[in-house]
Amino acid sequence: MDCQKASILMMEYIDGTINESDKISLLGHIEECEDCNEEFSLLVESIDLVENMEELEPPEDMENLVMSSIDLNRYSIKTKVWNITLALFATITIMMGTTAYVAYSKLGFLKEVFIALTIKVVNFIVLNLPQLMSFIDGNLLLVFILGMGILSILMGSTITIAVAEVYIIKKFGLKLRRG
Amino acid sequence: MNEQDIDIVKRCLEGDGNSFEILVTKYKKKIYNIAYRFTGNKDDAMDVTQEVFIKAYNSLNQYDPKYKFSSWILKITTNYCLDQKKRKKVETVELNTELDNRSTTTSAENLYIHKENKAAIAKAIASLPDKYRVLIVLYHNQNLSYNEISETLKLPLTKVKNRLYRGRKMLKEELENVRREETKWTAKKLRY
Repeated sequence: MDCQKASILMMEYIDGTINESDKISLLGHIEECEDCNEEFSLLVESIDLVENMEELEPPEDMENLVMSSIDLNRYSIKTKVWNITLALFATITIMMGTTAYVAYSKLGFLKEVFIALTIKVVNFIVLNLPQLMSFIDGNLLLVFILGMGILSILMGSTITIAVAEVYIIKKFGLKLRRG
Repeated sequence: MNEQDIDIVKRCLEGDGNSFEILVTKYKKKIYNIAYRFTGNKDDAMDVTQEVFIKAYNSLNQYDPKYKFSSWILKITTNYCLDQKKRKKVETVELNTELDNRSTTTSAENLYIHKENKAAIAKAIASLPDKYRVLIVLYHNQNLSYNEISETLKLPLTKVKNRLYRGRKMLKEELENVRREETKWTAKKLRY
């Protein structure tokens, strides 16, 4: 047996998965090879020390510490209903905002872009409702900030596109007139 | 046993938050000891244990009953420990300090040697890179199986096995180093 094979068998020996014939040849090799002998005894000793390392007792008031830091009503029906209401409120806010924007906007050709974006966002909210609920976690301010954040991203991106398009058309239009 | 864990989780999710205490009692020792092997001191280990339970409770609705609850909470523990270490970049405290203090009070030689060994192995574990240390602690100290570790750390079985093999070799080498240093130190001390 070579030392490399012996090294693998040592691991199987420690795992307790080594078969009888391998065990005999491993122990035979160890008796002959000084390096492997040293490696084996140190390895077994290290593992033995780790396995018999003293287990510490956690502080007795651990339960109290944990239980006093968690919200015991987190998963109560009341909280769930509250979270669903808030998530729906966020969705409705975005939808109403969109409707108002679309109704009063003069940039007709960009309405479609805006509607498409909104559909994507609302779709995301509906699909990820459970995760969103646990993220929102009853926090009204968070819903407000999230709702406003999404709305301003939607409006911001639309306005940017609008300005860019107007600018491009203007330039393009000037060139056409000259020609 | 595991069915019970799932039942408790279900009860918590149905609104009975107090049931969570049963899970705290059941897993606090395991988590505390793993945390101690990572942080190196009892106060930090206690903070980590508390944080892990709070995190687990707050994400209980994301627990997938397909896996063992123990694997899930140990995953939170190891992730949290590794994360904290990265964030704080705290040097692991040498675990032998308090053992050394106690060992001076006894004169029985074999007891002394025993304690010296314990201190040396703790030091050797502390100096292992995280990815090997986590495996050594989970497999050899917390008696998790290859499958449980693979599930906990989301690592393929072959990787678990390879890393553990390598970790053992490194541990052996670290132990050799620690002892060599200690012999040098004792020899120096004797000379003066």
